[in-house]
Amino acid sequence: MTVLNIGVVLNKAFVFGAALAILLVVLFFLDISLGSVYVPLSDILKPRGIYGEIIRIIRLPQAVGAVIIGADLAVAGATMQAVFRNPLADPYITGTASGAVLGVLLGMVMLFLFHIKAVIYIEPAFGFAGAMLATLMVIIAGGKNDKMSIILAGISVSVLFSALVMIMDSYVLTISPSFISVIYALFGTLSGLNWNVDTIIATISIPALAYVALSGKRLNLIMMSDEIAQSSGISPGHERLRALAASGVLTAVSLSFTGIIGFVGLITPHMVRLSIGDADNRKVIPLAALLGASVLSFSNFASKMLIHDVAVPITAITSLIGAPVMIYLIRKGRSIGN
Amino acid sequence: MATEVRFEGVKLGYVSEVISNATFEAVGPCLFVVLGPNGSGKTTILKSMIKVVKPICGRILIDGRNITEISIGELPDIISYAPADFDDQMWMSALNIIMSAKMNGRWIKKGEALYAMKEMGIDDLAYAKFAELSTGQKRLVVLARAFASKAQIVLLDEPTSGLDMRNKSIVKRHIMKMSKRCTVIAATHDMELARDSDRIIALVGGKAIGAGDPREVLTKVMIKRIYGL
Repeated sequence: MTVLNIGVVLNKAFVFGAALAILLVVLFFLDISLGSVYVPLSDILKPRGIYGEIIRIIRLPQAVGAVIIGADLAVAGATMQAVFRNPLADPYITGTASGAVLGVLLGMVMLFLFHIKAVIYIEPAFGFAGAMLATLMVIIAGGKNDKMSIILAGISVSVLFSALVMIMDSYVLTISPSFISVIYALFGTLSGLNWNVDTIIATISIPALAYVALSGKRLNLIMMSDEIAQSSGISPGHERLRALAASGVLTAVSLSFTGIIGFVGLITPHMVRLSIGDADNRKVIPLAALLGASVLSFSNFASKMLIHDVAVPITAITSLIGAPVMIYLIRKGRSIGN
Repeated sequence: MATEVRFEGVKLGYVSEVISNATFEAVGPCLFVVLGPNGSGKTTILKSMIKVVKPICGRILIDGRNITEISIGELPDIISYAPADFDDQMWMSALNIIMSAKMNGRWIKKGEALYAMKEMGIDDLAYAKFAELSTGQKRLVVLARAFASKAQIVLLDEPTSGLDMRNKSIVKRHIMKMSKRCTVIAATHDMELARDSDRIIALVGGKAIGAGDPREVLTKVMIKRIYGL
């Protein structure tokens, strides 16, 4: 009887979740410990002196930010895949991320040009507006029925917004070469994170994450068919809009302070589905959050460690991990569609 | 539980008109068949009952209540809907698909979903990926989902198409059983199912060309007209 009970409790999702939680804790401590200065574990647990300063001011806020942003991106990806009923959807591919970056940049430049004292909340707000604009353009251009046209529309909108970002970046850097933070928007890095930023990211992310995590059942219905959803009491249009807004918020708030971090939103939900052999969003969304947080924690210390004393953009690391995983998933077939 | 669905001069359409002036009633418990060739507007009639397609004119009444007064949130208490097919590119398990149905205002529990699958003889498919099932197996899963919800009105779109003899007889047996206790409305081009029904409406090009008792409606002449033979 006991054996049977354990068998029931220890289902794939539970085992995978527990393993991920342990992995995340390990990676979190590695992320604090590793970098241009090595901080031993004993000093992480009892921070004092110069190590204490490094941990308090740099490492810990970055490590905490990596966990939240990783979860945000993964959940945004899982949500978009369900909403668009498309295994290739993620904030990066559907143009949402490029829209967010353009918005953030526009906010930054406006604050700069009009000499407004930086209000840190402005950037995510502009980012959200940009994300929603880009998503809306993709939906209008691509329709919602054809899987390929959504992706192609997403790529087009991405390219368009990236071009605008480049133009704006070159302009700003020419008139003000010291305004280096606009460059961050082009490639992701967590080096801009501090406790103030973390507080904003957490305050905005946690309600959005909670909303999506509690929408698993409704997203399952959206993922099946509009008719099934509606006959089950879920209005597909409203549900899609709310879920897209939530993933827009998650994308915008993450990218506002880090720039574009690709692939996390695309691959983590697939890795979860493949590992637990199930697409139930009630399981996929929380597990993708854990996996996303782990992937970004790993990528963050890898970006510090890859070349000694050089901070490689974190998006380079996530892409180095993401591309082979993606190719593996394509070779494996099913999970990426037909 | 007897439930009455009544269409009064209902016109339906998207860009162009699909159904013109449909008037009929299905008084449960019964099996009501909407018979017609492909593209005759059968699915549109079913979709109008889950408010996906809104009537351009006319009224759809469910137990005397105009469907426009029924909120989407209320629909699962009244209606369950089984589409002909749907495309799942993710990895939904058959069990999860059935557990996404509602019963008495709450989500179906795992035990109830497994029971519904067992009734249908597909309990061995519970953890199989829906996308990897055969057409027949998919159909049985979708039907099990509709039946599990215990709604008073069950809408079935092409319930028997793409099934082999054995699965067809399983499905038909379940439809007959369901029709003893609720209003089953099936859209089909399956003549056998139509013959075994209580009432039919025959559609051609969005127009009803016959309605009533299938033994009276389904004459040789009528069948030729329906299928354009």
